[in-house]
Amino acid sequence: MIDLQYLISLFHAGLPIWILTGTGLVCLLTDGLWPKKGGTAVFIVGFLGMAVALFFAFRQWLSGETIAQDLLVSDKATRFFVILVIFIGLLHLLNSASYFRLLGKVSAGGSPAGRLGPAGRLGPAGDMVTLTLFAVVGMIFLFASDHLIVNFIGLETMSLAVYVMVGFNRRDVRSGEAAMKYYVMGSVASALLLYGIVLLYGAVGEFRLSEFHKVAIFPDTAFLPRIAVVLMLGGFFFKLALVPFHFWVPDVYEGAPTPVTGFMATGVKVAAFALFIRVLTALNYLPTAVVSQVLQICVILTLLVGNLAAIVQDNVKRMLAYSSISHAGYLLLGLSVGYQSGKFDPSVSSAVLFYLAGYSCMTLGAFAVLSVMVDEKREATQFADLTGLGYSRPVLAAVFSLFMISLLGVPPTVGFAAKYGIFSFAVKNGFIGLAVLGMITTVISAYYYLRPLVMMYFCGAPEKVKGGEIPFPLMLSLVFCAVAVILLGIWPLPYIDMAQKAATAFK
Amino acid sequence: MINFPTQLISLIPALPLVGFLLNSAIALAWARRRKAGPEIIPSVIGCLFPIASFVLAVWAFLTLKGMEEGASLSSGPLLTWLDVPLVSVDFAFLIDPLSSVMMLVVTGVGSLIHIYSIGYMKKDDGFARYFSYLNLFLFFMLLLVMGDNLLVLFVGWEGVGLCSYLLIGFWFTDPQKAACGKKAFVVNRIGDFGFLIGLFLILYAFGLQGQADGDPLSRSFFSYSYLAANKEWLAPLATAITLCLFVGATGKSAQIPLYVWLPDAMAGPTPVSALIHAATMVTAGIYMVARLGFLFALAPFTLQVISCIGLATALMAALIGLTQFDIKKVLAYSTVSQLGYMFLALGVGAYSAAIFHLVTHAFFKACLFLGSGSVIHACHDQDIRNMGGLFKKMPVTATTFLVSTLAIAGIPPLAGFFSKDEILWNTFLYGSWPFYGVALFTAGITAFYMFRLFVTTFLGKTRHPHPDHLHESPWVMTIPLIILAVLAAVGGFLGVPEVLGGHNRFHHWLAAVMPPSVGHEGNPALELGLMGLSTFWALVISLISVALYRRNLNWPAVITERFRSVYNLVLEKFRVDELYDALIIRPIRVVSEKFLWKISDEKLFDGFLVHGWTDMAGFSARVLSRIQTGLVGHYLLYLWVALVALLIFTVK
Amino acid sequence: MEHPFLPILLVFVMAALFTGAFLGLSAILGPKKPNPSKLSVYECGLEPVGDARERFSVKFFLIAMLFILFDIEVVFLIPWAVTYKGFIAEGMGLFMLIEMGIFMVILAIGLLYVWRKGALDWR
Repeated sequence: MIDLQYLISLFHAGLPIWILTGTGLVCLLTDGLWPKKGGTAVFIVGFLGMAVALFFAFRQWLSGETIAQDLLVSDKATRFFVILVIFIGLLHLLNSASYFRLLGKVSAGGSPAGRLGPAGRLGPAGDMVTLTLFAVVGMIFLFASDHLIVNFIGLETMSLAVYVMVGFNRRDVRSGEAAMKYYVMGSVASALLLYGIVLLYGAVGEFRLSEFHKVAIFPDTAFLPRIAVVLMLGGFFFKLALVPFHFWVPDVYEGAPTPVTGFMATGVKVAAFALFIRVLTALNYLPTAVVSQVLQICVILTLLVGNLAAIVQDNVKRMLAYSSISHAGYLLLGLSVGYQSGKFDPSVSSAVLFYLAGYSCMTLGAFAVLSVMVDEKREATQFADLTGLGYSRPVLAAVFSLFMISLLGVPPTVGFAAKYGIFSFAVKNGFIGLAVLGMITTVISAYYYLRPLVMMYFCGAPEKVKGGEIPFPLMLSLVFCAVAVILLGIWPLPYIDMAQKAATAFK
Repeated sequence: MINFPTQLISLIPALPLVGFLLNSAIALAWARRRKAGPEIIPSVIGCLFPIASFVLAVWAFLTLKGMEEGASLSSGPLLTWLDVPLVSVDFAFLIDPLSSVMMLVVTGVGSLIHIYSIGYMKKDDGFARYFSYLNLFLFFMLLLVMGDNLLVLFVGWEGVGLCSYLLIGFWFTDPQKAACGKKAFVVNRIGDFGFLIGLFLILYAFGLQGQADGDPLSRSFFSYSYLAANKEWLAPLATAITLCLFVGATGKSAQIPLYVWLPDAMAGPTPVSALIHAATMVTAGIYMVARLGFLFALAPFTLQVISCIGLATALMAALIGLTQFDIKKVLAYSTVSQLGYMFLALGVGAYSAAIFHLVTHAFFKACLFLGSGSVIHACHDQDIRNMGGLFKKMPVTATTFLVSTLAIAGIPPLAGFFSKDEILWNTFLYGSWPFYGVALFTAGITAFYMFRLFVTTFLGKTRHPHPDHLHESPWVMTIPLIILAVLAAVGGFLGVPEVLGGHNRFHHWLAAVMPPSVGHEGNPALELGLMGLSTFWALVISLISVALYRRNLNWPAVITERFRSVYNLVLEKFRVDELYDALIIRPIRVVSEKFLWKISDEKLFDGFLVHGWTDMAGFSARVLSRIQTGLVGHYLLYLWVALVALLIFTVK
Repeated sequence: MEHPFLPILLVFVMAALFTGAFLGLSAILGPKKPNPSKLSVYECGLEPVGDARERFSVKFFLIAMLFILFDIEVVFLIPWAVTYKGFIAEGMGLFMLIEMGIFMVILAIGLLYVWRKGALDWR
């Protein structure tokens, strides 16, 4: 018989997901019915749908009780991440709403772009909205289940949507190149992850992370879970853009349309970290003590390579790509200090959760600013394009400076509070070396984070004003990010409290 | 009467903040249009919010008055600001007798000065900006006096410093005025440094006691109630803590050695000088010391230092005031001198006398400054040698100025007499004859230079080049003047001493929150006698001053000829600025240029540490970017190599 | 005790041996008399024209992808239809019908989108 009670509870557990999926379908339908000029309608529908989903996600967070249903997990941690990724999705909608219009308007010059080219349209691109919605749904499935196959399906849903988003700027060769690279490399990474999952199943006969503590490992097959875990780590490290699995990052981040880069640097990373923490917690029941060393090696490599390579970039997007690599390094540092005698203690992940929230705000803000930097049909994101921006666009330059110093980690911004949390955990758990490395690399990062400020304020007046007017949706997202960066920096307590509540869900 | 609901407490500081936000929006809009709009909007906004604040403050005061002694209104923690293992700080407001007095002064005098400013700042380009700064100042000042812990006080403390900087340099297009703002800011930072160290020492002292691991309530080290309840833990460090805090007070309240910024602060608009640099902000140091009176009472040495510095400042500033010709400079030095009196009172343990003088001083000094503003408004000049005979042209200004001059000179029954006499009497009770003597002497000098100022400005023949242009100020300026003059005249009756048949209500009002005076019980006859002595002294000196300056403005020339060097020394303000320049600023510049810049910075840090490291970092970065070929095939190869390395590492 | 996968291994080995042996034998023993028509790509049929590594219109790939997509839908329908009787027996018949209906609607929306966006136009 149909168990109605069960269906209703399943409906409640995954309410934001159903809303987002439904909205995505409505968007698809709207876009299909009015393919030529439905863009604005799609944008409004998508935005409202996300806002409603966000509302219900908040209600779930406040309601407190945990409902685990079948393949869905709905604990505090999941809800925290649901809220975070929906926020990221919303901000991405705002960032991208006018990006193609800016690109199109500036390039118009009489001839509209190709028939299918989204760049030629004057409204927001409807496909982008739909893809964002599906990407967010994928992200939620990526971490809102403890069944590895469901996680994998979520990963693929997210990745496919993001591949397309990367190649969205069809008239720009670099965008297509980035999409191709990301797709090829990403499939390999997905394959690694899937292979790892399957091997793990072969070793322990279990897909569900929450059941791992029940399985018995035979000593003669103990190497199998290790191989499986390494393969899975490979897949994770790829999505998290950690050295040495980071080579795709600069090329793809540079080529992708600027708002999409912001979305990748935040949404994808947040979702992948969420699952990563879940998996690390479950791995305590497997003979995989060596994982902590792998993580530490990766942290060291990532911090060094990410921060050093960012120095010599001459494109701000590429610089931010390396910056996002190094921030992933700081996040991984936060996780790797959770290891005590080979066992992962998830309570340290509260600092990582807070860092993820803060990092998302400042990164999305920085890319929102860059989304305006358009000049003569193409993105103007070279360092040289920033010259004198402090005089020609004072507000824009000011908020960009704010995001830069926050990424650098200067008080009173959220960057400082977040880094402080991670480093203090590192020191408390006895990882002095890693903490010192983190601080040294932070100092190195001052060089490339302050360079835009130098360009904007101390390099004379610009030859011509770069970038268009700040459109209204983008202004909203800029204000939100700037306020969040300062608010979370000055008064972080309630949010740290949220992160701590969420982290208790990992046991 | 309905009792003041505690939920409304946060409205009192919030209202000026709203005013600030609205006015800055207007200022920005005007700046964007490059054209000022109608001045009525910012003036209404700028004045209404402080007045609303004042009304609420009066209400709160009346409620507090109706409650039993020692009661207070508290907002409770509005939000937990910090809650770390080291310390917990709530953002909360507290209204007790002391802060209610300060609130009334700040909002009351503040509102009057806001109204006055409408007339004074008329047709200024930065009209809206001016009002937004002034509202912001009120917000921070209310934060300072209403906060229930030292950290909120510190936020206000820094905030008023910022507003002071912004307003001194209000006409920033004049580099000299901008430099004055900078000087005030820098000198204040020196004091704030001491203040901060004091705060850290408090934390340290509680840390020593092992108090750092309790629940949040037992870690709210900075709240006044906690400090008062656990002051014995601070006892071992009390002298160091209070000295550091007092350094902060010398900066903000312009005492030796950090008073040098206040005379330069007169570069700002005159109402600003009245509000910030006479009535409210500069008294923050006195408020802080009085607020932490229980702590200072633990450190007798600090109290001695405070009384010495207060007295020395009072005397020195009064002497300098004798020789100045700029109308605002005279008043500025007079302010420094009066602040010295207040510190003297604090030092001898007469906290309520200090606060009483603070209040009356706020009345008559604000009136004097606004009066001088009115004169400057008419003359477009600040040099008293170019004035004279203004009494007929500006009767209201002159009358109010005279009332306030009488008040500051200590002529009974005006406000200054009661408050100053209480300080003198307490100094006497403190048992130090030289202190009393110097204080009395200084009171005489005060009377002398104030009447010199009054006579030179308002009496005699007009020396202004265009006497026909002189006119009385508009009513928006004169009405605040009149109100302040009335207050300066009758304000003293708040605290009529018992020997004159009064009840000293002011003293009793504050008694609940103030430590009792340390002095001994005095003899009523002796008190009356000394009162008579100081009254006589002030009257005589005032009359001499009037007589001398009425007859001949140049009479000092005779004396100055004889004591040329001494006079010049005083005229040049004891050359303190030059002394600081030679002793501190120049050596610092030499060391920073010759050693820190040329050798340490350029050679060691830039040459070796910075560029050495960056060269290395740059080199490795270039190597890394060489690997980044942009070919997917290479990337896949790297990926496999990394994976195999990982596999070998983990499985081996 | 023998391993359960041993027969499979044996099959692999045998297959490799047989194919290798016969290919090798024919290469060694067989007569070789080449002529041009024997060496051409096809012994019979059309002559090859141009290079096989030609650039295709991207439309081919689009159509191919769409074909796979909707092909899988059909493949998914078959096992569902086969087991549907079982669902009815369990009393889940209506529920499963609705679920499959939702699936079909989603795909229909996708088809509509693809069609309206012009991905099916051959131009």
